[in-house]
Amino acid sequence: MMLSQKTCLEERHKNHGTWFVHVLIAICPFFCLNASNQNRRLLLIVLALLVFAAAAIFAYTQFVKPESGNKVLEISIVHGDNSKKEVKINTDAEHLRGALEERGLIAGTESAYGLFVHTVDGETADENLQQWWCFTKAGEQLFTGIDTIPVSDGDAFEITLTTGW
Amino acid sequence: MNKNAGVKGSVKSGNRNIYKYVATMGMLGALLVVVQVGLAFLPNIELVSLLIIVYALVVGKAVFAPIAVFVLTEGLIYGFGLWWLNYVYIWPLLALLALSMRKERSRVVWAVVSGGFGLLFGALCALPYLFIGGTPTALAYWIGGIPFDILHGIGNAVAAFFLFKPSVKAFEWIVNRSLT
Repeated sequence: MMLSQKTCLEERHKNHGTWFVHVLIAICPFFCLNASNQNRRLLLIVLALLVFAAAAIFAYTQFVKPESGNKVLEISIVHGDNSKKEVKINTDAEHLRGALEERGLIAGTESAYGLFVHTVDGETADENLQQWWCFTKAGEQLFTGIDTIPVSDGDAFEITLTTGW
Repeated sequence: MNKNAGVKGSVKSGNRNIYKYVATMGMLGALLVVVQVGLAFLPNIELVSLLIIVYALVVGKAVFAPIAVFVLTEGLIYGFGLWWLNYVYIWPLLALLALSMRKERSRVVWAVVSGGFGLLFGALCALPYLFIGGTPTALAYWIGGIPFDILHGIGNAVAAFFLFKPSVKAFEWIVNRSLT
């Protein structure tokens, strides 16, 4: 015999106070439906994934915030011959790509992940020699494309021609 | 009737014909490379996860052979960077998960598994950074890639929901024909 949703929950939780039953009835209407254990488990996994996704989006919006307004950035470019060039950029751009493009410092090809930088300050990385431009911020390697790296006033970036994958 | 009986038998009989077996596993690995390279222009939309799940269900433990082909070939194509280390453990992890649920044939379940795997991909890739730069580096790596992880999860779930059943049917037929 299938119990009604409310009756089923009340049977299960009659010793735990009515408030708990009402909360469960409100948030989990599927618990007393004729769902198998596997379906319930699946729903719980989906809920857990949705909660994880929501937490991830929250973390992203809190920690990866672009800053509007005028900013001064310090860019250090290390060329293949180890010569170093320091550039100060005054910009309103919110991401690193915009700031570097304003000064004509970079060129590359568009990809699904943003600009793939081939050329910095006139020097092009030679893929045949496994050369690539490594972007770091105050010495720490950056893990996302320059399209999505937010910039703040006083930030210091280094761009180094690196050999070897 | 066990749906996998024929396939399991085929894999066993493959032991008698090692050439067919090696060629089939090589081709399955090559197909992983082809779908990865073919869809590389789309950000984090891929069919590799779905194929690894399907391979695990169809060929069982032998799934690790095409994964090895795939991971090594990816390294040869793109270079053996830190990302490659991620591939060494992430794809076998998905295969182990699929093997542990080998009897499951619901496309909804596999859409959830594949979607969840896509959503957690960045977090799994961040693990080596825990040892290299500590928790802040790993968190920075994971958080920076969250939009791509969300896209990855949605793409994987949609792909598995629509392509899981036809893929299982197709690969059961292909593997049966190849190994008998």
